[in-house]
Amino acid sequence: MSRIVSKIDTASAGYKKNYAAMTQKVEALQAKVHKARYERPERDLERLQRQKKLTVRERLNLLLDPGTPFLEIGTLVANKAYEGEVHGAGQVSGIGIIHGREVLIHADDPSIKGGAWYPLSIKKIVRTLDIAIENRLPVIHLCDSAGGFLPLQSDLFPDKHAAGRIFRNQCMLSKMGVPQIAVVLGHCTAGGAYIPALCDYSVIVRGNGGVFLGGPPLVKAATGEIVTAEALGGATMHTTVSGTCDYAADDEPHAIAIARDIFANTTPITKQTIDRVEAEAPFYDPKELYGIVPTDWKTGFDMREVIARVVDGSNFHEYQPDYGTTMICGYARIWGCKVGILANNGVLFNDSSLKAAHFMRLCDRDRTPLVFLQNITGYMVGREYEERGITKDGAKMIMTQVGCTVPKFTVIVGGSFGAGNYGMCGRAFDGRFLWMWPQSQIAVMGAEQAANTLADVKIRQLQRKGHELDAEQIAAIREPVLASFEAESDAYHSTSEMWDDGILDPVDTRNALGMAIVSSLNAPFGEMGYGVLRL
Amino acid sequence: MTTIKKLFIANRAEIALRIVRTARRMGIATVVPIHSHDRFGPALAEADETVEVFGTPAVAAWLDIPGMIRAAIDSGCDAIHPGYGFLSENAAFSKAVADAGLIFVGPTAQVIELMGDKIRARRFAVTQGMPVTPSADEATDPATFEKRATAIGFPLLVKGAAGGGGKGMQIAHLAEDLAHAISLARSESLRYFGDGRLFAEHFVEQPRHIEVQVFGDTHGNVIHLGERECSIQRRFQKLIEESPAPALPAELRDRICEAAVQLASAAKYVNAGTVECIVSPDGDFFFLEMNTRLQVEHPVTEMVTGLDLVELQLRVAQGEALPLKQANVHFSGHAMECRILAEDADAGFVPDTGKVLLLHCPTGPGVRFDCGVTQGAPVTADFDSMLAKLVVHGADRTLAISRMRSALAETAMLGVTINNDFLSRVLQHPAFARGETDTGFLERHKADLAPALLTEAERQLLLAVAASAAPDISATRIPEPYASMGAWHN
Amino acid sequence: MAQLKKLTSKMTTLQFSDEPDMRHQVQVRTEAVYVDGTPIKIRQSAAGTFVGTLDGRTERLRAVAHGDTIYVQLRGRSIQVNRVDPTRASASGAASGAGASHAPMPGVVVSVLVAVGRQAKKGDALLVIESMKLQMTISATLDGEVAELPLAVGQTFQRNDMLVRLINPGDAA
Repeated sequence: MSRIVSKIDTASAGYKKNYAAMTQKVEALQAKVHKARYERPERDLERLQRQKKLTVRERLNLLLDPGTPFLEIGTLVANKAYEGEVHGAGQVSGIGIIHGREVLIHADDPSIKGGAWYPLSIKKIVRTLDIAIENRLPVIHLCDSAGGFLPLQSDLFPDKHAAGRIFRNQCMLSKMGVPQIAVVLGHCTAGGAYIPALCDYSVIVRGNGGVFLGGPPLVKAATGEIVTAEALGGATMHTTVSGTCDYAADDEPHAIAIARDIFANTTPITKQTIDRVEAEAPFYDPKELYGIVPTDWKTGFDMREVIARVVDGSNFHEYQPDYGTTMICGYARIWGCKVGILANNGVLFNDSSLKAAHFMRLCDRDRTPLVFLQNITGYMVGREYEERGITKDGAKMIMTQVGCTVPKFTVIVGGSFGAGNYGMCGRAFDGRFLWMWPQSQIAVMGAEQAANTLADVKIRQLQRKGHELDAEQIAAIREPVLASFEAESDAYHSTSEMWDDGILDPVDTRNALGMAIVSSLNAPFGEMGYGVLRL
Repeated sequence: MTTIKKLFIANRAEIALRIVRTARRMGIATVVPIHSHDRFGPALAEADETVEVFGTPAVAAWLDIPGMIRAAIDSGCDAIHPGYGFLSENAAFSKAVADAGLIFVGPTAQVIELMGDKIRARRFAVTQGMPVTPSADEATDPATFEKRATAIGFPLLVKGAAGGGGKGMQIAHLAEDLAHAISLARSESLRYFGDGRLFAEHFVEQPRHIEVQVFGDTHGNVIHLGERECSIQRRFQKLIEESPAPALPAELRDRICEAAVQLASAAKYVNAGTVECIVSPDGDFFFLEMNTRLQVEHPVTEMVTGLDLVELQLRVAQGEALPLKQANVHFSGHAMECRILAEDADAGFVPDTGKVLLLHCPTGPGVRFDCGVTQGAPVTADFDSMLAKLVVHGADRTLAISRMRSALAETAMLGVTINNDFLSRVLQHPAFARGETDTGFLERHKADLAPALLTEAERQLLLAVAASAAPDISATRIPEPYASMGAWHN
Repeated sequence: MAQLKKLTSKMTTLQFSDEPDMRHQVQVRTEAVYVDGTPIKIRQSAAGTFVGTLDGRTERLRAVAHGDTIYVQLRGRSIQVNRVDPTRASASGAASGAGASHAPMPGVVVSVLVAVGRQAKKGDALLVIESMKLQMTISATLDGEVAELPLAVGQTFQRNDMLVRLINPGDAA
């Protein structure tokens, strides 16, 4: 490996323009994140105080080792749903460190709608547990929820990956030998009661904690029995009579201290070994990423400059540097871990697709995790390329990529459009983590292209009927499509729907990847193998 | 004249070290006793030799006359310095030392005996024209003691005849208190001095305790080295001493000092001694008692006179004439001493035990710290609770007070509760600054002297430091890359 | 080459010796020490000596630990702080029902060692029960006065029946 030689001129007008624009985007992101994490109506905070409950962030502060990193997942889920009132879908998920080991946290946020589960809350919990399964990460559940949000029950209850999937995932984790601890800090009602029941260990707080399949109102309605929450499913009953919960705590700090102690007694996993050495900071300042990547995805840039500000020592060993130049392939280290990087520097052609496929095979065989840096509008189209087999070559790239059993990580740096998303390990392709940048876009095609295509179709339809459209009428067809496409291609829309695991400040990309890669080593790599390549 | 070549110090802790230092300066070798319960004294490392002594309880070793003398002889000493407390005012010890052919650094056995018996001492003082408070001696007629005492009028002070150091004393404010005071004083006197004889004297209200440092030699010279005021006391024990006495009219001061010299002269007093008096609010002074030894608070006199009293003691013991005449004694500035005790002054002065885990001695211009412990020393009920003496000098009283407060704040003996913060609050009290000192000061201003509650900011700072100082047992080693990422959050 | 820090992460639960009911969570991180969430900046300047700020002035504190007790001195005033095990219940955390003892299994009362109104200390034997050929002594779970003793010698009981109840004189009955 040798150091990438940067060609960026930090004094140039282009750099400064990019820097200013990206800074704005990052500041907007930080404001939204701060709001989602901390801004709550006074009355909700007062209610928590009266109930002697800590906020979810205070709980995490007591639970996680002081001074250690936290990789939060889906901070801005539901930012465009439910009138923007359900920050993070009422959930906090992330990878934190307890007693020096990685732990996946799933925490209800009782300061948002009582911690009620909306459809996106379920999606976030299921995704969190999927991450636990794929990476074999122990899970700690901080339970404090009012239960399912009934008005939207059809979107959160019946389907395959709805609420039931939470409990199915818990069972799978248990079967795999991954420890789970539940800390019952509020109510676990109905299905929610299964969370502590399916965990290896559960701690419950006296007074606030309650576990019951049906709460007091439901019980009264069902059988006429009148019983208090404490007697029905409180700490004393469950830790002395039913044995549903294992440890009773007097208050939240006590409960969290017990949970830490329990975790200290679970057996650490032996990690999968990969090529890993001492880490080294990038030679170039990661802040320069702001000046390198334009906020308009249509403007190109050299992805090598991005790589140089993410990897250790800005060192990179480029594979096939002169062939398939729109695909950059090469080895680098992130926080000491050797990874294979695939990064787009333009549209995908035959040669770039083949190069990518070969490189991914090398990485998979040599047990090197893969990092995909996406900025792709798609594969090349046109007769010349079809005759050369661009579709076959794209298929080979996708087939190889899916066949890889080393962990895969994707960062959408610029655009992620169409089939290019697939080959470069988009969401559907079982990467361990996928993140967006604040200005990035994701759609089946660019908004302009979509608007033009749809307008085109409409125009010809009307032409066949004998209508001719003027500029204004064309605009009337184009504009709404453009607007809706733009809104739905936006990174914030993607993260709201949890099509990604979060929007990263470009400067945080290195740490996010580093933490994710090291966490992924808790799961052993699978057996190599892939399907049939159309040669 | 006999030159002392090797000195045995029949004492321990800070006074032993203090004597060792002067002896060394004078070229005299030193020997200090060591006991299984007293292995951490600061003198032990600085003395030329140590000799193991035995006794249970530990103090018994220092009260063992034949034992102390044997230890001195076995280690080849030709003189014994008794320090203060222990056997320093024991006439039998003084005599036994002389009989053993050793030099006793102190007055003769006869003088010790005279002044040691408080009743005899009082009578002697009267013959010398020294005013005394009206009193009743029980021994004159035990049956009428209570009646005669009552006749003096209340309040009455009931004291042990063989007592001293503030022990064996009880105040009876009203007639109905008298019987109880007598019984308490008697039992305390028996316990501390093995002698239950009592006498009662009129208790001067709001008395100031003024004492005069006197010095005599074998050539008939007797001088005084000024007065000390020791009015800040608790349970009749001195906590703060100073010189000169604040707001004492010069004329009264001179009369007291002259009377003290006359008394000492008449007694043919040799070596260091202190004549203790009380001064009433009306400006009358009364003889209290004479201590025939070096006092705890002698450094106060040393700071205002610039003299080394232990050196003078050794010279006199060697038969030399005092090296200066009264006219050569000059007083400069103001000195103050605070006794650092192992007790919780805010909880009724309850003694504390523990271990000096961390010791920090204050320093600075005009600051002298005579420390009786070393770091790691256990503090037990075996010995006296005074751990150190903090002595400060300044050009005037205000500067002395300021330096003392600063030094008290700097003094640290973590692991056992000490009274340094309490003493600082006393010094800060406006009445103290005005010199309104009398033996009722602490009781009178008790409410003012309570410690302030800690502020929230102080509490947080204390907890932060406590957590940092706590050992790392519960800390986890964080592996890379997390250690280098620190508290990163996306 | 970047300097790598070996980080030890320290989380402690402390209480002032004269406030046994109040616990403080203190976390020692690299940039500050967090006391109940508030960052306090201090640094160690020498063995046993720390420097911090109070009312805008620099203050020096001395501290030494001995077992679970830490002695700290600020401006000449010495304070004792104890480290507590956070997994242990706090002194005031006893649940309201803690004074009552319930039968762990059905059985019979073999002997009653106290009477209503008697003062008992935590751990004192109160009664002896037997079931399944197994005798068990029921002891006081706290210091208090025997308020209820519903069963006599020879009486049988079911599982979870209350055998004895103590009340702490400070609590409402």
